[in-house]
Amino acid sequence: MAASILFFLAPALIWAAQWECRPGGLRKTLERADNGDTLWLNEGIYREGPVVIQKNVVLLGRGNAVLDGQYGGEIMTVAADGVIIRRLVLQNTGTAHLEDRAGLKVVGAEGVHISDCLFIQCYFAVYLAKARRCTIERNVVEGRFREEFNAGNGIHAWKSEALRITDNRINGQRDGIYFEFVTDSEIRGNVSSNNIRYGLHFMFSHDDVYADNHFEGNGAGCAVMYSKRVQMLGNVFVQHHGPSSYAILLKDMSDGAISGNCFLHNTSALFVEGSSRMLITDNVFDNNGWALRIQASCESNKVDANDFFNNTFDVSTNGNVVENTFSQNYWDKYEGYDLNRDGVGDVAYRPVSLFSRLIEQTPHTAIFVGSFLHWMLDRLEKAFPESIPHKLIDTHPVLYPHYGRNCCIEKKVRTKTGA
Amino acid sequence: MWLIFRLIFGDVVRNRTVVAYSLLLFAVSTLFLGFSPSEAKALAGLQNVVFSVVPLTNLVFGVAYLYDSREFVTLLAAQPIGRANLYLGRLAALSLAMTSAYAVGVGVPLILWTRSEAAMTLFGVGELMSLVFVALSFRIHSWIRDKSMGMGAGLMFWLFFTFVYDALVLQSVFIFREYPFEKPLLILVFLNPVDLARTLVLLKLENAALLGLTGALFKEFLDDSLGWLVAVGMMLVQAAVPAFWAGKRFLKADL
Repeated sequence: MAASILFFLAPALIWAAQWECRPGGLRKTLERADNGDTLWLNEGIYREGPVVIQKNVVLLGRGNAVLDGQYGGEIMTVAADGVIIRRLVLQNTGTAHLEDRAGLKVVGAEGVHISDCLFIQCYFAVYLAKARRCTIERNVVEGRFREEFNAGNGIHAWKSEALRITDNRINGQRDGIYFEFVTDSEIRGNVSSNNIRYGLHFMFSHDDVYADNHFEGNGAGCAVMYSKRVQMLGNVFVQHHGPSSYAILLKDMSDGAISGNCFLHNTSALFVEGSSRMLITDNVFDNNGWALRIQASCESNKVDANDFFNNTFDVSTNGNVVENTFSQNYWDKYEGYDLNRDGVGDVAYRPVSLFSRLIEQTPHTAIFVGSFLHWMLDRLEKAFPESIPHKLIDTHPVLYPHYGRNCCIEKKVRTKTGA
Repeated sequence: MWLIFRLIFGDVVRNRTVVAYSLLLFAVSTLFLGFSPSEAKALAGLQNVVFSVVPLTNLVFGVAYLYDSREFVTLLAAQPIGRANLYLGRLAALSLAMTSAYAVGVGVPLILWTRSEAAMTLFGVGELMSLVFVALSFRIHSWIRDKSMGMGAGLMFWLFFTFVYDALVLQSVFIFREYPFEKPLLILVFLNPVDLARTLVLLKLENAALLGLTGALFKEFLDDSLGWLVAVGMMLVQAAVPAFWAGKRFLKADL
């Protein structure tokens, strides 16, 4: 097929060829191209089976260049360093339970750059394995999956390092972004919504930053587990609802920071288990069922300068051992006073209510939330503290919120639209 | 019956206590709905008031009114009016008066402000609770002749339904916490009109997810229309049984 036409241009420094591709000719052009060449994929639907890129080339879509997997195998695999892929549409990979079929797989490559692509109904959209210094930006992943066991992840990274995942939009996959053994990476400005399991799934991944992302309506927001020195900054978590749903699950984490995040309308905003030396500061918890569930297995965490508004329960815990410190938070349920007017309440505040404790021990009791009994028991416990943990106390509760009451809502709009 | 209904209804709606009750509810509803940061919070606050004030007022006012009108009823009973007509007229008049007082106090602000599903549920269960507790006050009146004893009984019933019952259920939840207790709990909730009403509203509010597994079962049962029919039917039965029982006694009673 003479579908590809050779354009021979002579750039000033590099001898790089420009190739034009039409549907049906992609594989052949790839065979002919050399390292450093640019392939333009013209508009049309490319049904060419799995394509493997083993040369350092640039793939650019022109118009609506669609690579269709026809629900068969994979669409494209990158096994060479420095490959750049832009403006392609990849759709309809097959579903498999024994292998991870992906729209775009990067295996063992370095410096791969994938941007402005659209992935529709891909089992896995972008799959990175043993990749280094790759950038995935401004892609859109649209899955229409229903069941967890029949869906793959949006952006999946395994055993990689120094990745940059920015400004992507992921919708309707199993996990929006999945990190396992990925270090020194950055996840920024993404919108991950309506994924079946987690917005972000994160394990054994040290020294990473995720910031300014927007998570909405996922099975659960983020599960961040078994990692050290992770920074979670300025993210927004909205509408994670369900009996065992949460905005962030921290499990066996240490030395990380959770700062400047907004939690709005989640069943559990922050669930912390077995974690130590985490800094939880400057977050806003607005209208959650539980704002902070910090289990007795946690130690030396600092909860400072957060705002708690309108949560049914601000803090709950499951034991009497509390090795964490609370300070300078704003609690809307605080009823103390400030005689010397320094903005800090003169009476310490105990954010754990008796009822939150009862529910933690016996979940059935939640049926009495909002009843006269609930109110009465909480009052009684306040008057005669008996069963709430004595050391769980904010010694310096502030009287005025650090952030505005509407900051969550404003920030939610900002992160969602990517402004 | 129509005449008696008209007489008593006119008397009750002009009663100062009923007017005050209605105005109080109206004030509380508008305050909550107007000044709360979110609708869910407003409804959560309002439901706290509704679930204690509505049973209390209906019981105490109902009982007091029935004792106060005893002579009038004796007088009417001396006229050529059937006892059944007399009883039904009074029951209908008092029930309608109290439900309209609630409708004005809570229903109107809710309809003006939100009209959401949770709000309409709160309105509906409040009306049903009014019916239940008016009927209960008839039962108390037919059972105890002395006014102060009757008022005391009314207060005891109120305390029982809003507090003691919950405390007992809470206790049983603790005792059986190692067991799958969802279904017995569902039944226990159905037996108390206040709990049932509160649960119906709770399931429509956002923090329903707090309920965990229990909530899942409750939602499964109450979210389809059959569950709703059963719940509403249950509250109607809870109103009908004491009303019927009191009526039966009234037919034979020596006034």
